[in-house]
Amino acid sequence: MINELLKKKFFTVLIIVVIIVGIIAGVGKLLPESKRANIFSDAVGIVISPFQGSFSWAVGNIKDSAQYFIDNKKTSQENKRLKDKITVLENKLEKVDAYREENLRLKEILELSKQNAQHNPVCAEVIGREAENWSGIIKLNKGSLSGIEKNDIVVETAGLVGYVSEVGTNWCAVTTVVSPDSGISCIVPRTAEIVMLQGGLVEKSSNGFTLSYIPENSTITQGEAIETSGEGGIYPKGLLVGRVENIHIGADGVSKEADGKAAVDFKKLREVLVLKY
Amino acid sequence: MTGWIFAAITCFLYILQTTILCKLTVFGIMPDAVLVCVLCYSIIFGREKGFVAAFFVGLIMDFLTGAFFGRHIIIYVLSSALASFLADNTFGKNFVTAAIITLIVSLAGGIAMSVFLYIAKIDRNILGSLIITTPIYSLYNMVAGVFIFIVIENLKKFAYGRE
Repeated sequence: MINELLKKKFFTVLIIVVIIVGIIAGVGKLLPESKRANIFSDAVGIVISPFQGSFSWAVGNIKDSAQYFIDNKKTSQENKRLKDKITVLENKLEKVDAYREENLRLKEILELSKQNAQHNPVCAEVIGREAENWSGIIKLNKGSLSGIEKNDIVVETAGLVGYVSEVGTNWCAVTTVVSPDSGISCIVPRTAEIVMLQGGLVEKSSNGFTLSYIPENSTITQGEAIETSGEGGIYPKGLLVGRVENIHIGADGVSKEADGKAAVDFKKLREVLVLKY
Repeated sequence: MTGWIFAAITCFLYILQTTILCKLTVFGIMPDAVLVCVLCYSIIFGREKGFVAAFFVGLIMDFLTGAFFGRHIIIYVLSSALASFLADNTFGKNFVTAAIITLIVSLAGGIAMSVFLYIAKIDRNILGSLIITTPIYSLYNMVAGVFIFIVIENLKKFAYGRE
């Protein structure tokens, strides 16, 4: 029976393996204890360790990359959330700025209204400009219902705007001081010289006007204030119209003329005060 | 296109001109959208309808602007006549025609107005008006004319069907 078993290859190999393992275990037991692994373990370890290291490195990198994408996605989402919040806050800030500016403007108009209480002031908003290039008319949102009449004076905190040239029920048209068809008798307060102020097509675009009939020996200088003289029947005396910008000889070659700039910026005009004089 | 639709477009353009276009200025000059609308209508619909439209639009503009009564009526009717004449006899009816006719009519109107204002001693800077104001006004009207022509033509096709 044993001969038959020995003839079978499988059992032969199995017996050989058992014998080898036994020898190795026995040798290992017999060898004195050492701080290092035994020679057989060391041999296997030398072969396996590099592969283990490479796999661990690869797995670590894959894990780090995955973590990077996960973190990146979270960061991106938070970034978007914060950007949206910043946009909302910026919009609110813009509104706050606009309200603050409007508050300042209305405070100034209120102060001006109190100073002119004796002239029955009516506060109005500019709702439209001229419909054509050859006039300097603005339209307000108040009319006869608010007590506005023709030839009422329109002012702003910076200075004179113009006069009411047409009145409707709930609107009125104002001919501005820079209108091409305006001709205002003005005075230079310092020298008490009377000059004529006139708007123009080209000058209107830059809030400008022309001063003419300046006396030859006038000492008017750049930056000088120009006020209404009270002559002419429409504008009362003493309203600031603008300032002189440059002085030159007129077309006739004798008298002086000057270019000026209106005190009011008509391009940014919003609220005005209509007064009765 | 019915008169009501044209009237609505004209009102819309007037409001647009006095509120928005007056802020989109080039050297202080804005386009005259209402005049351009009348010109484009005259080019597209012909002389008779153009005359009627020009008259009523001029009437409304005289009421709205408070100008010397009849001024806008005369200007618009004359402009309409010139535009329909040029369209019928010279250039045909397309947006290029509208641009050229708008340019010519605006130049003529600008020069006439500059001379009138100088003679009436309203504006003494005639050189500035002729060299700066009138060309810019004409070119700006020409650009507006292209857009307004396309809009009115499309509205005509919508109202009357494709011819």
